[in-house]
Amino acid sequence: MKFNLALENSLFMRMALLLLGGASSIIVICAIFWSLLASVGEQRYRKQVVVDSVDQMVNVYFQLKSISPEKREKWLEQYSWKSTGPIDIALISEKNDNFPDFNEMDDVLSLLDQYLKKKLGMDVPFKFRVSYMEPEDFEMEQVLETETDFGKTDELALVDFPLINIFDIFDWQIDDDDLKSVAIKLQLDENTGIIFNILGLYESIMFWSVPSFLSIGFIGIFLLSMLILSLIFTWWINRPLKRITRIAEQLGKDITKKQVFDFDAPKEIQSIANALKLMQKEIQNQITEKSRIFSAISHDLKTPITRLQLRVELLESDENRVKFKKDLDLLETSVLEALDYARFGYEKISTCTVDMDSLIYSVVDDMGEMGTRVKISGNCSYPIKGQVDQLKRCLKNIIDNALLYGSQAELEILGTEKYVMITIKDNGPGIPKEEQVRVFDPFYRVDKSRNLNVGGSGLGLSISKKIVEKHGGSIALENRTGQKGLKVRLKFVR
Amino acid sequence: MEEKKLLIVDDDFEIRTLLAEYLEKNGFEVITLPDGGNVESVLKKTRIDLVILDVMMPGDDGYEVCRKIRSWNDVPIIMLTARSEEVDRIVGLEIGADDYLAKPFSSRELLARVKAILRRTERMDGRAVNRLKNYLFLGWTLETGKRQLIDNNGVVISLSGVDYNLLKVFLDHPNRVLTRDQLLDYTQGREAMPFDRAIDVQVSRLRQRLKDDPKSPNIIKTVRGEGYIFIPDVIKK
Repeated sequence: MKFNLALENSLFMRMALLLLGGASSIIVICAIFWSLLASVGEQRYRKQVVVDSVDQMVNVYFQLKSISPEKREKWLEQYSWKSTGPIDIALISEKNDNFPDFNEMDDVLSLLDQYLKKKLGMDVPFKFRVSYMEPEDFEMEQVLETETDFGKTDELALVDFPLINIFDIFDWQIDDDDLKSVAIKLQLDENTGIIFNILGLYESIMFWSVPSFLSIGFIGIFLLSMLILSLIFTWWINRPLKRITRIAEQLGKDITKKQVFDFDAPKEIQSIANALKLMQKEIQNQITEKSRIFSAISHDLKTPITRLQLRVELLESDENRVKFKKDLDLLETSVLEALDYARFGYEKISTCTVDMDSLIYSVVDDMGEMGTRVKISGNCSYPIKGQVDQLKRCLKNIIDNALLYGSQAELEILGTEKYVMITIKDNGPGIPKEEQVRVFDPFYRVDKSRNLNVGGSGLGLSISKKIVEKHGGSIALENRTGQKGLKVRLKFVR
Repeated sequence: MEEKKLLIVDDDFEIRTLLAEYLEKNGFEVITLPDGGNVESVLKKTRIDLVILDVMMPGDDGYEVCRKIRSWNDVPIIMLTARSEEVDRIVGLEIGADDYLAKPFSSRELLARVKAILRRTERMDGRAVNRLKNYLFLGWTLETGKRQLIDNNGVVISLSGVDYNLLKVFLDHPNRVLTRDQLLDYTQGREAMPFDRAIDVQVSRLRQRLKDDPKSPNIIKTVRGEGYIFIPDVIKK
């Protein structure tokens, strides 16, 4: 799935998502489980409330029935004073019976109906009425007044009703069902009825109140805290990974640099560190070995070449000397450049801030007679970080090349605060586009004959490229437009 | 001119005999030694004008021999080595060598260096030879070891060989009018031709390097009809 590459490709984000996803799915599973439990539990609870209420109602009903009508009022008063729970009882005169018939039966009412019939017997008629209390009454903690037919008011303190559970905080709404009260009217005798007002039959069970629990506010806060937690955990897990990455990066830049491989890290990371340590040691050994071999070869070759150079000067015949010297110079540059190239990058270089203008001028000036064929224009005025000898060599190779294939070279210097760009143009034949990349390969020559008479070791551009890259710069070739010749562009980032 | 005497110390038989032959052909008297062991006794017995010393030798290497000579003698020394890294060059110059030549070198190049150093020592008239030191002026530094100029912002200003030599002549003779003849002689070992503008071109280029305004120069001033003068105070270190 490719919904977001950035998310997918970072281990950090993957771990964070895993944690977040894991925690969220646990919550969802729990919520489903809880809601199942809750619905079962709620049914049981309601049944219990119904049973208790009915028992109480039936008890009161038979008590009232057994005593004389005059005493009923008094008895009820005493009973109400003793009884607890959300049940309110009132006597009603049967004459002005306007108690409506309620036909819509729901689970609670049918349960109530069923149980009442069972307890009272079929011959006692009763009616239901379902009414709602206003939510404002709750919020303002006022007293609910229930009117009875006797004009009496009965006070119910709402603080007694545990209707607002903690999850309602996120909802800010009281469930309508919580406010449903059921009134049941029983016929006591011809003249009198009795009304039971029951609250809380529809009340949902506090902690199992699933809809509140899954409210948007709660989920939002939950996800946010999970996100923060998972980011912290992931950061913690990723920290050693980051560290090992940094070490690997450092090694990539400079394999010889000493690194701290023993740091407080989990086993897995520690074994990567150990592997890197071994790798560094092995590479260093190889570098030392290579460096030593090249030094030895270099030294062994330099002695005979020096001898030859000295002997050349002693040759009597001028003609022979010139030819001999030319071959010898070629041999010398080929061998030494090849060795240099092979060794290149293994020795440490010290960098300093270098003024490029004077560097270019000095390179051209030091070329003597050849240098007069080079035109320089522009200036860069911003110095760059680098190594003087290498930068000189890099430029010299390119200028030499330009003068080898063309009769003159133009040098343009451009410097900005961000980079220094040097363009070297010649008026030679240029390089076919398809070969332009390969001319940087060591020993690659555009003319396939590898005719050494053209001069050079075939390494000039390769060495230049290595130097430029070591300085964090780039080198590009391009044929000149509108005229023959090659354009080499060097760019050094400041 | 009296014949100059050179001492060549190199473990390679061929090289030292070839060098000797070549230098003798060019008018020097040459003594050769295969290692550093007898250098001191030779230097004590004979008046040697210059020592050519190979670095890679069995026994005491060239640096060691050089150090030993320097402890009691001021004779100019040119070091020869197969290594060409900057570090070796600086080490050589730091322990008191006067010049450094990487193998393989052409004998012409060596001859030119030998002559340059002899000319320089001659001018010193027996005073201490002009060895590795840094010149400080106006916050700038000329490091003779690395042959580089550093401006007052710590930026390396590259000098071509000719520029370097010219600046060094000025720094050795501050506040003195130097004629075109003198400058040419010091830098290139030749006399000025009539209407020779080469030195003027060089001076104007050097001014550019030193960021000296060519219209009203403050560092190298033109003395009309005579030559040039280097104005700032120079500290040698």
